[in-house]
Amino acid sequence: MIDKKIETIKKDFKNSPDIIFRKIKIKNKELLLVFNASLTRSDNINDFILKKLTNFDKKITRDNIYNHLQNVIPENILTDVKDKNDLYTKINSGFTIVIFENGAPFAIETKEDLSRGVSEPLTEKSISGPKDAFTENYQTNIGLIRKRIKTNNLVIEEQTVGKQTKTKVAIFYMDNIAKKSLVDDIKNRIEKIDIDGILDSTYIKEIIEDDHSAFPTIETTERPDNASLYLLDGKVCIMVENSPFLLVIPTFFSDLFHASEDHYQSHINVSFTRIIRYIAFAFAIFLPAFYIAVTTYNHETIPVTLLTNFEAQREGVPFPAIVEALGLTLVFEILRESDIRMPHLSGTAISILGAIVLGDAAVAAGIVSPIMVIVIALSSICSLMFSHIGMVNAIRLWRIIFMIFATLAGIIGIFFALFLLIAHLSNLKSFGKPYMYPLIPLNKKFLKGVIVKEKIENDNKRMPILTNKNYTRSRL
Amino acid sequence: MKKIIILFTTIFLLSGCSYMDLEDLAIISAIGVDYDNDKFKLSAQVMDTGQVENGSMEEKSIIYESEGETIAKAIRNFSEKYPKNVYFGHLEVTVLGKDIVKNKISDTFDYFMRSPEVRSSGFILISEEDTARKILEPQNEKPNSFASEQLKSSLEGATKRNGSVNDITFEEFLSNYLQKGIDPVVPLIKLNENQSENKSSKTTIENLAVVKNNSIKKSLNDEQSIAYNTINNKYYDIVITPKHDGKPFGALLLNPKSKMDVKIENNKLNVNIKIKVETKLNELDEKIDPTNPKIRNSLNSEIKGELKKYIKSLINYCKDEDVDVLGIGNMIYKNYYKDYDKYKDKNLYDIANFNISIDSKMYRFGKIRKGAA
Repeated sequence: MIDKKIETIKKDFKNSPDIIFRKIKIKNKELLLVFNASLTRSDNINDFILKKLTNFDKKITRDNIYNHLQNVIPENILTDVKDKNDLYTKINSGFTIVIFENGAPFAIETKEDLSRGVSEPLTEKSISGPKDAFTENYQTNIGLIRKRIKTNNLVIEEQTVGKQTKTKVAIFYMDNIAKKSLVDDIKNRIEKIDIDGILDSTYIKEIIEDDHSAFPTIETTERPDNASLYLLDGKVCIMVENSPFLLVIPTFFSDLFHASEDHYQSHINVSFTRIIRYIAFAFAIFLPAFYIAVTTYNHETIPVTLLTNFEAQREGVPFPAIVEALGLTLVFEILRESDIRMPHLSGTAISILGAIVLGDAAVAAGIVSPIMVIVIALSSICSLMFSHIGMVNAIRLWRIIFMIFATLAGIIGIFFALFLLIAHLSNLKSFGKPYMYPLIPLNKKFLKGVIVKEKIENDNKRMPILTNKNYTRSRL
Repeated sequence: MKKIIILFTTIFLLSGCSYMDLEDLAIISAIGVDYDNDKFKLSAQVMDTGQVENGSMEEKSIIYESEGETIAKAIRNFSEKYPKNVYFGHLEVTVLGKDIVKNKISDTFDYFMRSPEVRSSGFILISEEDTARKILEPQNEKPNSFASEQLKSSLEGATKRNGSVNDITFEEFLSNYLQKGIDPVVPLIKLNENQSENKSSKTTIENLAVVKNNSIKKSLNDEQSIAYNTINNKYYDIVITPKHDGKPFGALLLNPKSKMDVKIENNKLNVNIKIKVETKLNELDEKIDPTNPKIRNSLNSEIKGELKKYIKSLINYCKDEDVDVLGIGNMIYKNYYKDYDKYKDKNLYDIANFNISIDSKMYRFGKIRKGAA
């Protein structure tokens, strides 16, 4: 009888080697334990099943054992198995199935912890503030947020997406702050997803986004402190199983200028840093274009001493400015890409090669002018100031667009490209919310709050675009 | 998409500049205009930079020369002789030579006003005795120095701290030249005699000449120039030397705030000149205490008297030469348009009634009190 059952399961699992069948004999009665060796922890099987059954003195029936185990196992990890499919799903989720000759089988959770521990954030570094980051473990991630917001107003709604991967997707929001309409919209969009597998939160992000722009309209964060802060603002977070990045909805353009560090420093210093970030953004996008414009069309816009300086450096360079600029940008992007893919150990070699060989030698060989190296390097470094990779790439795209327009029509071309950029940005929406808020539509109070940082006690109101329930932070 | 295409085409219609790589340009910082044998002769000072070698950059001053029947033609003729394109976007000084001054002065202006490539915010200088070519010639001792930079900085310095000249830009000059009822002043430049003795400076910028009806009138002397600059609020601080008890003392005039207005009442022309100036004692060769209110007041009134003398001298000059440097005619044209025809051909400085009020305050006396003499 039991052997027959073994055969059926073996056949359904296509003789998979990691499915283990273990027969136990108690008082001449046979039990069968089925589990997946790679997903279960043998200690758990010992503790929860085998040890508890050694001194079992009642009659061996399914119900007797089920009731006994329910009394002696500390956690509620004992569940019934509904049907065959459920049985297989449970085996694949790390459960151990107890099968009897007579009577329905039941399952006991004996999962092995397969994820790495909570570590420091890698992409959103900060000097002060909490140092923990999300991991690939769903339960740990929920815990990291739960331990920061200890109220039952934090709602977690779970859905399963992906026909094959059956990935858990959780929507986080504060019931007493977030707008119901926004939450419903997100839930609807996730329900409509029709896909075989979700391997990371970026899958969800790309499917549910409003506009497909180079600029990120949904921010991702790996910091639980950031996520908690956004939740308290009335935003909605989406957590995806096996992904260390949470999605934050909606995201405004100004959010990309804020680093997690900002929340833990004095408001005076942060205001200064933010202004530097806006200048860096302008440098990153405009600088090469402006240099091309002044050296090819608008020579009169810069002081004559600077102009003669540029002229002396350009002397002998065989290419027009745009070819020089695009070439250097390409080299820089290749260096950056190979640096990201490289293992850490060879990273230094790349830096040396890039800095000395490509930079210095190219100038000495007369292929590029030194001033162009400065311009491209400065604008590239400025773009790396932003921790969000989507933002860095968007800046790169627009930098090239600006350079091309500067080559076509000089400073007028730059203004045309600026016009396109502003039109593009103000047209973007993040889940129906204007991307440029609070600049467009204008809200003076919050505009000040995003450009510089206000003192925490003065920053006591929530944006009306995100909440319609509790505007004042302290009154809840 | 359609909109974007339309906008994109307009940027090519709107932009007037053409693509020009920087290394193909000859940046001209000063241009001299001469006239000889019915031809305009141009001498352009080019800021040429050698290639960078070992991080050091060598700047050379080169003079490009060309001639043509019109200035536009002469400028195009540069390309016959020189490889680079001349570029006037950074023009800093325009020098008009002696032959231009004598017969063709107004013929020179049209090209500079019409061409959008020429920057007109540079300075203008006139040489009555020498050709512009000679003025722009680099000094023998410093072959790499740019004449334009020296001319520019000495002109600015002399205006701000001496008051005897005026750093009028080409634009201002043309605007005054073309307006009704005002005659523009222009600084004169001449080569220093005995250049072997005076090695450090080749040229002197001295005095203001007045241009009227295509010719140069007698130039203003130092006192008249100071009066002109005081009324036009031009300088920052200058020194004048009034006399107290027959002995000259140095007084510094700071930041003049002057106002001039013209009123016609009962067919009488009244010109009110109000001058407000701070003064500072700079040098005193008498053993008196200037902080004593009595002495201070007497010194102050001497300064006022001196300044008034200068202004009267300027007015007399205008009367004698029949020029209108202060622009009284222009003010009548702007404020009493109907009466302008009546006054147009009259010598305004003869018939006008001048009310000059000077308000000066002396409250700084330097580090010591009594005169040291």
